[in-house]
Amino acid sequence: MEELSVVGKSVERKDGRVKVTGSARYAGDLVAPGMLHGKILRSPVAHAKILSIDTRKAEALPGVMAVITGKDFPLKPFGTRPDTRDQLPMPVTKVHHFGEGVAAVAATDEDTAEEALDLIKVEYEELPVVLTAEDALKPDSPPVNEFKSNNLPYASNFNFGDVEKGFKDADYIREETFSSQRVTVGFIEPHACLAEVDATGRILLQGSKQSPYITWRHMCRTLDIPLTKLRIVNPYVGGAFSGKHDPFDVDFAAVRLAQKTRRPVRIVLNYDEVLAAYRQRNAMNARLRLGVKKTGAITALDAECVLEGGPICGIGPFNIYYFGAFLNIPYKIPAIQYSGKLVYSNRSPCGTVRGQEIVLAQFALDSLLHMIGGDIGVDPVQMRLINAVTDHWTTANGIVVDVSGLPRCIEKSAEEIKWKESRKSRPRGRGIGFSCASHPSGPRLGGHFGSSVILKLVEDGKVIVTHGGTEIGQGCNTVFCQMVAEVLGLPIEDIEQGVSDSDTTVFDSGMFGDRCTFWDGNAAVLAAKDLKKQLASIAAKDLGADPDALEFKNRRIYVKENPVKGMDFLLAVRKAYYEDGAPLYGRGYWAATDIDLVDWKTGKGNLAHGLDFIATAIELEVDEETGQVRLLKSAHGDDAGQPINPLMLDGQVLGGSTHMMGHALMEESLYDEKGRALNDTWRDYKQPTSMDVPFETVVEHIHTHDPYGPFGAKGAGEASSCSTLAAIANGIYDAVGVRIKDLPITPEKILQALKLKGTAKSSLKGTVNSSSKGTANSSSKGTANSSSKQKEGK
Amino acid sequence: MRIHIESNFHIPGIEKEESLDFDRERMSLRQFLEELSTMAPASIEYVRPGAILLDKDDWEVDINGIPYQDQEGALDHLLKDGDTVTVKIMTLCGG
Repeated sequence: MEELSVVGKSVERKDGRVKVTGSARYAGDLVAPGMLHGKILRSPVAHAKILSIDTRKAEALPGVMAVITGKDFPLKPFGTRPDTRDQLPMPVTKVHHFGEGVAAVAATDEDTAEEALDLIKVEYEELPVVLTAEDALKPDSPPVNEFKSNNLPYASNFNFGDVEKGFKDADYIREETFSSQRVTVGFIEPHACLAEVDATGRILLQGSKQSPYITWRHMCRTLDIPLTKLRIVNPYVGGAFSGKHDPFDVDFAAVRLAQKTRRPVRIVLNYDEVLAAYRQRNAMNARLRLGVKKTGAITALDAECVLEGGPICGIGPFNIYYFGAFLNIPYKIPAIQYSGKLVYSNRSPCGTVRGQEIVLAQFALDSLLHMIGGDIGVDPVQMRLINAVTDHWTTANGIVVDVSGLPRCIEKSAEEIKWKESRKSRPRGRGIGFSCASHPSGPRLGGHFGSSVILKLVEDGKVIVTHGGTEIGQGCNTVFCQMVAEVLGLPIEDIEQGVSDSDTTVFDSGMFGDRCTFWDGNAAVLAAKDLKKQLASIAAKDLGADPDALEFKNRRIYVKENPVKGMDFLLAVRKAYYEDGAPLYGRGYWAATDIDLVDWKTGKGNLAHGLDFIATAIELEVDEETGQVRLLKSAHGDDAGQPINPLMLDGQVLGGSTHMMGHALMEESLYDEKGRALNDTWRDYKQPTSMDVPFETVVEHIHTHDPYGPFGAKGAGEASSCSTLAAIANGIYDAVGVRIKDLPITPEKILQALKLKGTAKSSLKGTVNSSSKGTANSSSKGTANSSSKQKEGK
Repeated sequence: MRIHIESNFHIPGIEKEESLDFDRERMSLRQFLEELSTMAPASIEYVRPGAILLDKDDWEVDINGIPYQDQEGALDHLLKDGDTVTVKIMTLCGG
């Protein structure tokens, strides 16, 4: 294997210093001459007809330059699919959720803009609210979205393999229900943007966007302008986690106000606006029935899932797909039937959050797997090893796994968490939980999907990288620079990251699904090889050598078999510029063109190459008096192929896991009976801090080599989100013998479950009694197939 | 006339149908797609009013396996009894 100089090293992040010193400029820091400040008026009710909006008093206020409402936009809805378009830039006939923007103001300063909002009079006629999936599915449920006649905008049914036979072959079957709450996305930087319109009417939008391509396309369609009339430049982005794909009222309003006033308009949201009215993760209700052999090998799965996604479809149809599709992996399940429903409600609109709805599917599946293992007496580690996906595996729904390090990940996490030792003795109230997960390295969903990279080799020998991805904190700018440096034999200092600008960059289809390292990474390698070929041709002439026989290393180009015969890298660059007058550009593009597209009707299809895998083990302690959970240690065996930057990869794995620790234990977006947000401040909405996460963390990189990945790398960062919820739920069960299947697992729920089981601290003596463990949910059902007796109800 | 339908998604309003029968002898692709819009329970636009071509970002449509743009008349191509129209949905999102 070739020796790597820059790839595989934990080089300093390209954006690290500017970010930690506060000098990076985010959208909210941007200014422009003559800039106005925009503010958005929000609905105080969750569901109502808009009878009238009177903006006259606001318009008359000195300093106010323009006021707009939904009527200032073409009535063209947008959405992720042409059959699910149900969203307007701002509402016209009705409001759909608390905090929805109904009007916007541009003024010379923020205070005047705020004051003007108070002068806008909106007349509402309140409508009954739909808050839960159960409400939404009632026959008399009031329709939430004016573009659809009922509250069930999307449903899917998948059937893979022979499910009937799978259950017939099972020795043991158990069925359980699971649910998960609404959570916010959790990025640090609120939505913000600066919009300008030039003399020709061309728009420049600089915003905090995760997927500028998606924003660009939706906005141009909705504003009814060609793509060339909107230029998008991405400043630094303070996190996104799937919450910044779409254009929001912020973006539309800034653009329209800039068009009206012919002056730049900046809008920066407060975080309470984000918590109340912007993207959240769907609330989930799921039912899973799993059949296994006595050995623990899975034979069949039957699953249902209902996602409550607020008043828009958004990315919901893909959440429904992902939930069902990724039940097929990381375990070998020969037969699956799945039914998924997306429903509307009058809560905040949903998108998704890191890990997409694989997070929720895996919570349910890995919790159930653990429960069944307990029922049939198979150790949790063994249960996972028996079922773990291995190399060259094709799932029942058609996803092809080339390389799986999952079995080694499981063994490593068990070893690091000291699972075997813990079975001999452990302090009271302590437990260990496991879960595994897999995530694709960037899905191919149809339409524009390739990644492209352009390198400009400047006459001083330094390279500027421009790629179609977005640096949202995940470190992609650094890993691309590493890859380019590696191919060209340059130190990392010689590679700079350029600006992401729709005028000069071919944007990726979006920054999602662990795609960046894999897709753009491949494009970066190809772009560097393109540049290398051009330089080799120049150097070969001088050296009298075959271009293919040249090696690039340490800023030199030399004959591989005769290293003294060579030339300075910079000299070759100067020859191009100064002797041939030729600019040096490297161009690379990559797309997984050899995989089948998913058939949305059947759910069949291979979504992606480079499935990454993780096994997570979490050790925790439950205080039986207070129900408080303290996370002590996490150990992750992680297969991301070849780590490009091991330290940043650690950060991705731990970041994804920490993110979901909040989801598991404390986070929840709460609403009152009228659909109004109850905890829309950071004081009331709890996210984990450094005090809440495990003191000890271990990430063991299981090195595999993906045949399609750049340098053998796979994607990373989302699998650990998918494996954390069940690891915590399973750990709590291991610690105190109560099974909570309704997230978040709050101290109150634990105490109640302990009480129900009659195992509260006062009545407990000595060590945890494994024979008394069971679930506290009456909907549980476990049966031994054929001759074995029923095992539930201990 | 009978038109067979293939798709990569559930076409709203005709989720379980593999073909549609029309009480007429001729029909253009445009008219056929407009019929599909009327069959949908909620608003879905296959053809923008007056458009020469379909929105390429939304739909890929073939007639008997050949892209409709390559058929004579494109959107106004006349379908005949037994033709197969394939409608594929394009997506704009990630995860």
